[in-house]
Amino acid sequence: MLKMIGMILIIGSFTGMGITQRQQLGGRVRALEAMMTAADLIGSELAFRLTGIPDIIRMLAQDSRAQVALIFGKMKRMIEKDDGLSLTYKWMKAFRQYGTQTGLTPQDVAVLCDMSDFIGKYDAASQKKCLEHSRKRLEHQLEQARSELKSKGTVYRTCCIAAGILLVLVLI
Amino acid sequence: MKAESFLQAIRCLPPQTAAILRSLSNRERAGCEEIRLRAGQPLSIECGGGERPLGSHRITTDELGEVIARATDYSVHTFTDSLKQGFLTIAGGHRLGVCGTAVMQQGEISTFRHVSSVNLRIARQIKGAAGERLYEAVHVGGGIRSTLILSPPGRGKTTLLRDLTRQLSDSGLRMGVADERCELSGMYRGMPQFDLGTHTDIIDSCPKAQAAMMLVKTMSPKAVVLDEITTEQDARAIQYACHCGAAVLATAHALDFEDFSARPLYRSVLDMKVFECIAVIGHERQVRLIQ
Repeated sequence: MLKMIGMILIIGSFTGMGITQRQQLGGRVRALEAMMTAADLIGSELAFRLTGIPDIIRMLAQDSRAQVALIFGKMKRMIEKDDGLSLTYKWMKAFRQYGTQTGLTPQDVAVLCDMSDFIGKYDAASQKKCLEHSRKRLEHQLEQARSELKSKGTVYRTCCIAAGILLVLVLI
Repeated sequence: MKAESFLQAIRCLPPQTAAILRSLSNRERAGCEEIRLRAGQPLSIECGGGERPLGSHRITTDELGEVIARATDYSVHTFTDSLKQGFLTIAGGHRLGVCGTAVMQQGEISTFRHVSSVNLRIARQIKGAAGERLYEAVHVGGGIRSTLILSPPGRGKTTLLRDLTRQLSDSGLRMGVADERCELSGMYRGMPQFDLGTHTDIIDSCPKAQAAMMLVKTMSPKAVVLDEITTEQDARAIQYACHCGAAVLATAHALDFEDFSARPLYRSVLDMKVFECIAVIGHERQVRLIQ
């Protein structure tokens, strides 16, 4: 009976590890998709309503997607503090501190941080152009994340289950 | 109150520069009219008696860029039209004049590539500036007489016009303000930063002539208020407003009435016989009325 429980526990924990790995890859895909939607919203607000950047950040802080709400919510709190620090700094700080928590990789975060180079600094048309370039870079990251999920996701899960079974066999 | 306006205005400055200004006494803060930042030069303030440098820190072009970013709330795109005219109106109605390397596109300034100097003019509303005599000369028999305020720059034409508008509006008369450069209302995010009275409708950041016509057509004001008549279109807007039964309160740059009437554009304004009262602001800001 004890052997049986041990076997189940070992296989279960290895399977769990595989699933977690796969979920991490899936989380990155979801986070990148959410960031692309956020970039679209920024672009639309700039093009049609000439909305100020702090107001756009406030809107994104209330977004229904958890990843967007987390990063922009923190950014909103930072800009509400009158500490003399620039928006560029606060934008980068929010993505660097909380980006990886949402499932983004440091490379994805770097793309999003680069947006601070133009956000709020030019006329609406120029910002829209720069935003389109950033969107293309995000799309590239997303494609990479999706292919990773497709190829590595299943491998991780299968390998972990197999490793669990192997360990059980070795122990028996 | 004046010192508070000063503190509000310096919020758009980088922390290091703002710290120097915060070290001024309350009296100096209250008396400060302008803050000037020029690349490579120390910060200076204008307190009525000319410019006075403050501190030894030399302003950099990066700091001037940061001033623009902060003044626009990191949203330069929301101020492109006014930036093309060389100024920004910030929270509190304070005005930031901008100089630098202009970028020309299709014969028009589109923006400034590098900012070389800025002038932060601290806005202060002086309630009662118009005085009873002017108010009584303009507000006659429950109506408004078309009035023109003349003076050279810096003697308080806009302050006088703003206060006159406020008083007339508070007396229950509907006023329409065509505020092209946001100087009268200090409009910021749809909220006038100066009290223009309870019955005042404002169109800002739009050519005066166009705004005046829109106001007459849509808001039926008793008087249309225009600050600084400078073009023929402005003159035509005055005529249009009068034909529609609205009085006109306006200002113009001139040393005195003789100087005003000698200028061709203004002569055409006089030929319209619209203005029933002319107020000339003389030395020491005394107002002389010509009726």
